[in-house]
Amino acid sequence: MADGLALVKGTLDVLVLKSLSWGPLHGVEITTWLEQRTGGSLAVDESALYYALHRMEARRLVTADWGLTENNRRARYYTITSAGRKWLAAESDQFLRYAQTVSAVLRARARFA
Amino acid sequence: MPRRRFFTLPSFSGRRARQEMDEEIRFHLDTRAAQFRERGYSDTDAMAEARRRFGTSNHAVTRLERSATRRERRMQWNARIDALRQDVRYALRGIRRAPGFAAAVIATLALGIGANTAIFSVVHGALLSPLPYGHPDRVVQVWNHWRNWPRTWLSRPEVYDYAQDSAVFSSFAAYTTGAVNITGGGDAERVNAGFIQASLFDVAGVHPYLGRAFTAAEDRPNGPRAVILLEDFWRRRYAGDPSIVGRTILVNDQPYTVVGIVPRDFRLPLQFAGDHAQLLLPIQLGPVNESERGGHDYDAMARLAPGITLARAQQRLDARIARIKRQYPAQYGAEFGATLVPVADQVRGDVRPVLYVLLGAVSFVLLIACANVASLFVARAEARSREIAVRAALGAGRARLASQFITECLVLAVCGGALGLAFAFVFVRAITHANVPNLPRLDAIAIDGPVLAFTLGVSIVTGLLFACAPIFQLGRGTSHDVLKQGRGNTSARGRIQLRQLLVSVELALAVVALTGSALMTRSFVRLMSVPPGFTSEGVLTMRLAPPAAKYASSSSVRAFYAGLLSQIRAVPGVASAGATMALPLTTTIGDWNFDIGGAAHAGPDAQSPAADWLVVTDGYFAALGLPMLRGRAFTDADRLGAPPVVVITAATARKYFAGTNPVGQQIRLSGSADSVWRTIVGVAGDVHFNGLDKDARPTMYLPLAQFPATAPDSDAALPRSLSLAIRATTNPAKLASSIRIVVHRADPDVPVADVRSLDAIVGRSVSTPRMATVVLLVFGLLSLALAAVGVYAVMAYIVAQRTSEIGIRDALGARTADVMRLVLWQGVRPALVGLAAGTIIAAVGVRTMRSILYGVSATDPVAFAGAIIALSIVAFLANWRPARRAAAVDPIQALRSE
Repeated sequence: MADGLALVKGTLDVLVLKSLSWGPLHGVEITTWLEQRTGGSLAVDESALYYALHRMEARRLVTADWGLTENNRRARYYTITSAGRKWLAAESDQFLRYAQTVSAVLRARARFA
Repeated sequence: MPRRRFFTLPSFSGRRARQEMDEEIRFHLDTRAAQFRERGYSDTDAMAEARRRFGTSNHAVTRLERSATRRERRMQWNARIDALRQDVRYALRGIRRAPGFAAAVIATLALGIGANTAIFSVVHGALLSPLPYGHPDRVVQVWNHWRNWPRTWLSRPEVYDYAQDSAVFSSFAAYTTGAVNITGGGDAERVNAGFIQASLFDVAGVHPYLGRAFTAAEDRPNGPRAVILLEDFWRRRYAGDPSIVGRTILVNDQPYTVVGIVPRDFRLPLQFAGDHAQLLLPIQLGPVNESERGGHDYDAMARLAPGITLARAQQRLDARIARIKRQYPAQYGAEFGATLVPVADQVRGDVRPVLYVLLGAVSFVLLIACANVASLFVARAEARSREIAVRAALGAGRARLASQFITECLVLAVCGGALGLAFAFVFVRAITHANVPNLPRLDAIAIDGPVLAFTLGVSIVTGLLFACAPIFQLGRGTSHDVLKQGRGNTSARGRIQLRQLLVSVELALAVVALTGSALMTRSFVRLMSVPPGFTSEGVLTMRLAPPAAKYASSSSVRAFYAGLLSQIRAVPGVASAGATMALPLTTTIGDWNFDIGGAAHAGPDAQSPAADWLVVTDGYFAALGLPMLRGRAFTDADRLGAPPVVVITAATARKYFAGTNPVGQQIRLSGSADSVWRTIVGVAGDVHFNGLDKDARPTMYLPLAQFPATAPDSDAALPRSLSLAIRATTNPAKLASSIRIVVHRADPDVPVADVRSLDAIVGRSVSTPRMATVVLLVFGLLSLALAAVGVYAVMAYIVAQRTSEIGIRDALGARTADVMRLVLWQGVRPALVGLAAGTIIAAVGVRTMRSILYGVSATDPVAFAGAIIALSIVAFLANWRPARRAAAVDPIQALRSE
C-alpha cells in the first residue's frame, strides 16, 4: 500500500500487543483495530499479523484459545499475558523516547541553540 | 468470551497445529470478505480483496502452517523446561523445609559416592587407562620359565634366537635395568637407568619427544656413547633445556651424547610401579657367544607380528624352543620354556584382584547407603502423604508427582555426589602420597574427566535407585485413603514392611562388607606375624655405588668396603655393620647351580642342585640378626688366599644335605666365573627374601672377600654396588647423617642412595595388602555404622507409629517385658533375616578374595563369626533404645496424642 504506514521492523508486535491490552481479540478484530488506528491499511500483508502472533505466543507474550464469535463461529482469540504487558510497557517507552528525540532533532530551527 | 484452560498446557501435535492454522486463515478470509461486502464490494471482488490483502505470496498458507508448527514445538519445549524448573524449585523448597532430612541424605550419599569415586579413580588409573605404548594390546613381555621359576630372564643367545622369527614378532628388544652415576653440572646423583636394545622403541611404538631413538651403530659394543633422557629427569636436572640434545653429559664419569628425550609417561614394562628409569642407554649386546647360553640376565619385550594371535605366537615360539633344546641338550632341562605375557597383564596382573575386591567392597558401601536413604525417603513420604494426596486431589497427575519425586532425589543425589567428590579428592591424595610401591601407574591416578563422569553417573543411578521407594508408595496408596486417615494408625503397615525389608537388605550387605574386611585383616595379621628370618628393628640401610671408572678392579672394591665398614663400626651407636649385594624384600635374586663334593658329577641340568646366591661381607649376619644354626659366619680371616668358604641356609641344608651335617662339606659353583671348591662353614637361618608371603628359597652366601674366586682381579662378575646394613644400639634414623659423613670422608665420589631403615623396607614390601586392609576396614566400619543408623531409624519409626497401640496394650494390662518383646521382635526379625541372607551371599562373594588372602581361607569361620556377631550386637543395640522408649510409653499420653 503506497499510502499506508510503513512499519519499522518489530513495530507490528508492539501494535498487536497494544490492540490486545483491552481484552482478547481474534485475528480479524486485531486487523480492523489496526486499520482504524492507523487511518487506513498497514503496509504489510495481513498474514504478517499471524507471524507476529506466533512469535509472541512462543515467547509467552500472548496466549491463544478457541472461542465463539457473536455469529457463533469458531475463532482463535488472543490474550495478552502479564509478561506481554510488561514487554509492551517497556517497548512503548522506548518507542516514545525514540520518536521524541527524532522529532526534536527534525524540528530544530537553528543550527546552534 | 473464550474458554481458557488454567491448569494444563495444550499438547498439540504438529498436524493439529496445521489444521488449526488452516481454520484460522479460512475464518480470517471469510470475515474480511464479509466486511468488504458491507463496504459495497461484490461477492467475488470481496473475496479477491480479502485474499489480496492477506498475502500476495502463493505460499502464504504453507508458510503460515510451518510457522504455526514451529510455534507449537517451541511452546511444548518451554512447557517441559517449565515443568523441570518447577520440579527443581519444588525439590529445593523441600530441602529447605526439611534440612535435617536433606543433610542426612546428602551426608550418607556423600560417603558412599565419595568412597566409590576414590576407588574408581584408582581403578581407572591403575587398570583402565591405556598403557603409554602404541597399540599396547600387541606388546608382550617375554619370559623364560624354568624349574621353580615361572618367570625368569633370557640369556643373550636366547634373545637372538627368539627375535629371529619375524612371523611371530614384528620387533623384539632385550633390556635390563640398573643405576648409573650422573655427575657434572650439579650434585653427583645415582639414577635408575634402562639398558635397551635400539629396537625397543619400535616394540613400544614410542617416539622420542625431542631428538631421535638410538641408531644400530650406537647399540653395538664400543659404538658411539649415546643416552636418551626421560622428560621428567630432563626437566628436573637440565631445566627442560632443549639444547641439551646433541650435547654430552657425564654418565659413570664417561661423556655420553644426549640424542633424545622421551615423554614422561614412558616406562619399561616392569617399572610401572615403584621407581623407574630416568634415562635410557643402549644395551650393546654384541655378537652371539654360545658360552653365555646359561647366563640369564635379560628382560625382553616384543611386538606381535600383524595378524598373529597370542596363542599362535606362543605355539610358534614353543616349536622354536623345542628345536633349541634338541640343539643344546646339555643346557636345558625338560621344564625349560618361554611364556609370552601381554604387557597389560604383566603390569596389572598383580594388583587387579586387590583392586577388584576393593571396588566390590565399595559398591556394597554405596548400596547400604542407598538402602539407608531409601528408608529415609519412605519415612518422609509418610510425613508428606497428606500433602501429596492434596496435590493429587487438586489435579496433579501421577506422572507429574513421580517426576517431582525423581527430581528431588536427583537433586539430593547430585548434592551428595558433589560433597562425595570432595571426600574423594582427599582420599586420592592420601593414596597417591601413601607409599604404595606396588600400585602401577600412580601418575595416571587422578580425578579427571572419566572419573567425574563416573561420579555423575553413580549419583544419577543412586538417585533413581532410592527414588524407587517413594514412587512405589505412590503407586499403591490412593489419595482417597490417605485423606480419610487420621494420624498414626495401622495402615502404615505397608510402609513398615518396606522399611523392614530395607533393614534386611542393609544388614545382608553389611555382613558381606564386614566379612570381607575381617578376612583381609586376619590375612594381614597373619602376614605380619610371619617371622622374616631377620630382625628388622634398629637396622639402617643404604645403597652405595662406587663408580666403575675409579673402582675398576675387584681388589679396589674390596678394599673400599673393608675400609669403610671398619670406619662405620667405629661410629658410636653402631653395633655391627655389613654389606650385601641385595637386601631382603627389595628384589629377587636368581639361582646358581652347584656341585656337591663327593657326589656324582651331573652337569648343570635341571636335576643338579641350585640355590639363590648373595655376595655379602663379614658382619652382614650380625647386622641383620641372622641366626647361625650351625658352624660360623664369615670372619675377617676369610680372604683371598685363605681356603674358599660359603655359608648356606637351612632350606639349602634340608634340600641337599638331608640327614648329614653340611658344615665341612664342599660345593662348587657351575660355570667359569667362580670355579673353586668352597667349604661350607655355616648354616644360617632362612630368610623370606622375595616377600613375607613367599617361601624361603634355598640360598647360599658368598663372601665378598673371596668372590669371584677364580678371576680375582677382573670386574667380570664383580658386584660393585652394595647395600650397607648397620645395626644401631639406638634409633637408627639418628645414625644416618653420621654414616653419610663417614662415607663422604671415605670417598666423596661415591653416591649414597635409598637411605632407610630395614623396618621401612619390610613395611614397603607389604604396602599393597596393608592398603587393601586399611581400605577394607574403613569400608567395613562404614557399613557397620550405616547399618546401625538404618536399623535405629526404622525401629524408632516403628515405635512412633505404634505408640497408641502400645498405650492401649498398656492400659489393658500388658506387662512392660511383653511390650518390649513385641517391639524388639519388629526390629530383630528383619535383622535376623538380613544376617542369614548376608551370610549366604558372603560365603559366595568373598571367594573372589581368595587370591589376595594369605594364610586364611575364604571360608574362615572366625571372620564370618566376627562379622555376624559385630552386626548382631549393633542391630540389638539399635533396637534396644527404641524398644525401651516403647516400654516407657505412658498409656494416658499415648491415647491422648491420637
